[in-house]
Amino acid sequence: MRLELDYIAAPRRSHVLGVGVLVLSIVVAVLVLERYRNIKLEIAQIEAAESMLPVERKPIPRKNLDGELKNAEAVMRQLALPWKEMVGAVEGAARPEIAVLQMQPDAQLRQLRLTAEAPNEKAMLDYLARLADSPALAEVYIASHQVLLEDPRRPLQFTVLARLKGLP
Amino acid sequence: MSRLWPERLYVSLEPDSVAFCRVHRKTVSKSFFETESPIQKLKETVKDEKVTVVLSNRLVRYAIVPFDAAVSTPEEEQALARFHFLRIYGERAKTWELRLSGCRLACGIDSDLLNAIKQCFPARGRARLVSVQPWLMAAYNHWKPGTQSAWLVLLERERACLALASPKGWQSVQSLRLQGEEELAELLQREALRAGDGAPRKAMVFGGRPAAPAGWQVSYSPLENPYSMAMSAVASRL
Repeated sequence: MRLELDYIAAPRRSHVLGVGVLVLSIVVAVLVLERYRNIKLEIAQIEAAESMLPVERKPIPRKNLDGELKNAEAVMRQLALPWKEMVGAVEGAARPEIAVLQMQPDAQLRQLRLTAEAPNEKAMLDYLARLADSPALAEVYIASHQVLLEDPRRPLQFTVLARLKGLP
Repeated sequence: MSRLWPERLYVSLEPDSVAFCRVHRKTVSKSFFETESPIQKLKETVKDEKVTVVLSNRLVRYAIVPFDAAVSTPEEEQALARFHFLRIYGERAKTWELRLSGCRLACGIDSDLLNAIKQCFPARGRARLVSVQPWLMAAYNHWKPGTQSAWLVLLERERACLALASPKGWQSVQSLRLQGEEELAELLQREALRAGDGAPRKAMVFGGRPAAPAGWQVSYSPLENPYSMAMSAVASRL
């Protein structure tokens, strides 16, 4: 027991209360720390389990879905074109004097658009006839033609449209 | 001075001398002055420290205040202590500043002395007076006798304070004139006889190393003079 006869300082209080509060604080701190570690562990486990689940797809908005479907259908139609027959028909009709400039199949219209150059009208018509003989094409006709005046050889540029056989 | 590690100044104040122990972290520096005006020296010395003043027993009077069940408030305790001081020391005790400990030991100092010490620390100054305590308090708190009964002996110039401490409380306290340390043995024997048959033959001595009376078990404080008062306050804090 201390002797307290100080004229300035207040008598010292017992340390028991302070030590008790300190011990209690340490116990609470340890419990809180333990709880924190458990929660952190649980979070890690939940995150690990979630990463093993299949990724949940976000619902696509209806508007986007229609667009996606149209695109998918277009791609499917393009893939469904009888490319082999079509290319065979164009190659079978080919002649050295005929220059094919553009070949545009249209799956939706079931149509083949060919742009080509010929040195004269006879060569153009011969080419048209050969295309018409192809088993892959039907209703072959010249959609447009023009003489290229700026070219000194005066070639004939023409566009042929033909229906593609065998498409739904 | 760092606010985290403030310097502490422990002052041993006697009527004709003053000793300083300046403590900064683990470093202790000491100085001692014999002077007719120790308060003035104290005023000149303090700068920005926390200051503890330990009072010589030549400046303090003691009394045992018996327990009284009828007394309950601090004011009543003070009045009871004042009554005993007046009974022992007469009218001059009317103006003394009294302190009463829980173990029924009371002390009194001249209020002018306390005011003079306080005036060494102006309100705007950086030094701070944190404690004014009698040497008996500093020495006892350093000693910590525990459950044993023993005499606490404080030796000063021409004076000795003998206090009998027991687990039940303070049994007696005497401040006596002493011509020389060799008289202490006789003084202890006499006080032990006055205290009765059960009085212990054990003593703890501060302030000197006089010969022990025959059959007595005497321990000596290692705190050196003339700083023993101040050093006992330093040590009692640790």
